[in-house]
Amino acid sequence: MRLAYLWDSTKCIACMACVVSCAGSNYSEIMRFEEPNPMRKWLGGNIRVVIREVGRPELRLVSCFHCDKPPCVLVCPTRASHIDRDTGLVLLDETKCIGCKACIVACPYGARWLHPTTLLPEKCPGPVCIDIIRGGRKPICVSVCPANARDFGDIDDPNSSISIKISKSKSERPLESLGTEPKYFIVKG
Amino acid sequence: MKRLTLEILSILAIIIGLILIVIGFTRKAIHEVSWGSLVVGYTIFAIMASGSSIVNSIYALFGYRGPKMELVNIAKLGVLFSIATLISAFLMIFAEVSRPLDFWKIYVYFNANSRIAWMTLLYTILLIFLIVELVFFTRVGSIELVRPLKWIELVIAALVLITTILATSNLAQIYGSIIAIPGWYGLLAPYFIAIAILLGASGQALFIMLTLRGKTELIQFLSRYYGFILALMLPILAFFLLWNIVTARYSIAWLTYSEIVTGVYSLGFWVVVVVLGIIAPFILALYSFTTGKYLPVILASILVLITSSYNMYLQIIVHQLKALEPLAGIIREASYTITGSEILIILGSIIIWPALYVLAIQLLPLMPGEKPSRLYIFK
Repeated sequence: MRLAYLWDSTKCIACMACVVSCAGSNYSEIMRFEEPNPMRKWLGGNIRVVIREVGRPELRLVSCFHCDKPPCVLVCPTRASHIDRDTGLVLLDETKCIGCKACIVACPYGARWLHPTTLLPEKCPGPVCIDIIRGGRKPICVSVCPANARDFGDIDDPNSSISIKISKSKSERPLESLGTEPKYFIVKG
Repeated sequence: MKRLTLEILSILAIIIGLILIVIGFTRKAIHEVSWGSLVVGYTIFAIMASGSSIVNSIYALFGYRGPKMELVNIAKLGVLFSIATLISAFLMIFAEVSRPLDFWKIYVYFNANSRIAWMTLLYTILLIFLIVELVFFTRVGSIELVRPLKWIELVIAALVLITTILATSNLAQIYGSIIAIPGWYGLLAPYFIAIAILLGASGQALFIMLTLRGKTELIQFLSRYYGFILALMLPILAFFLLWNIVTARYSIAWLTYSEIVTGVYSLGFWVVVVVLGIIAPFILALYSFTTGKYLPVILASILVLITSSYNMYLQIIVHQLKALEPLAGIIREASYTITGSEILIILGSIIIWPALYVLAIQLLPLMPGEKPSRLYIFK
């Protein structure tokens, strides 16, 4: 099984429901903070918003792309960052993490950030979403999307909704030239 | 100053340094940049210890003793300097990570693909080899050795040099292998080794020549010796620096290299790194080499230590300030300012550095001609 994310840029209405629900569900303790997290420019959460305002406006929602060849897993000295054998997702075992921040530096997407109280790296899926995924359901960012622009599922299963959407649409993966083989598909048309 | 006074002062300095480190650690905050000044400090001290070990190998492995056995006389002090510097480096990196007490997990859950895991292992092995080398030199008394002991000395020295080269190259490639930071690009391993030798020789020049003040003939030789090493290595460093800039010019690395060479950091780069860090110490070192005067090489060493630290700050932090976003044409930008907690930790480690060196000289027979009288290694 290789679980992956899909974001349909043609359907997204940029309502930010995924961004807010990710932070609110997984990191509710941070929502009480008054100072923004320097790494996220706001309180926290696993989804970062990148906007191009010059010319034709364009948006990217950046979170962990669960690469098949993840640089964060390669650099981790204790194997705290690892690829989960059951799901293919890149996960972080906090019991092994020493907080060297190498994974944050190594991620070419800037998907990881530092929790302000534990000073340990955080990434998608957050603690609540991990339990949801293990229960066989889709993560919060997918289930709250009002435009049905997000999907999540097994790309090794040709009958999964995500596999069907990938096969029927024109999609790309972020910064493919780096060779990290992200499991995150951006539908362009 | 009396021996007891120096012992008490150095122990006090170590305690004050540890207190500063603990206070700084408890006040750590999050940066936009993940690896800040503590990683810079660690890198400088770790490669300085490596460079000092490489300089030590000139006598310990390659057998050059000097015309009057001068290098035999300073061999123990050179090894001690490497050990004190490496311990200070470890203190900085322990305080940098969020869970320093979990450092043992690197050995238990060792990831053979991780250069940080290898760095930890290699520098731990280097520290052990250096301690073995120091004990060996102390036991045999740094005199002309009988044949079997000389063989052991060569084996230890070879192990130290191999581990040093591996550790420094690996440390350089921690940066060189990270694709997320475009500016960490170029000939990093030889560049780091060149800086390491410069820092090692400069640190030794300062510490050892101050320790041996008054021994005129020895100081005159050491002025020429360290002057020669600095005058030799500075053009090599300049070559690697130029190489990195030229190759970066035609790659994505120019994204941040341009900030250093022609952008907001250019004044610091050209004045501090190039003029005060390469040209001025080269002239001073060359002067000491030709005349045997100690003051120019001391000044050159101070300049190299300060400017190399600034250079490392540019190389590690400035390159983290810009990266590509996964949206064409958009650059992710960050800013960095050193925090009070980082200053406290760096200050604590820098205080402990000479204190360890002085304390060891008071306890162990490390000065020229001294031999152990208690428990085989103590004075």
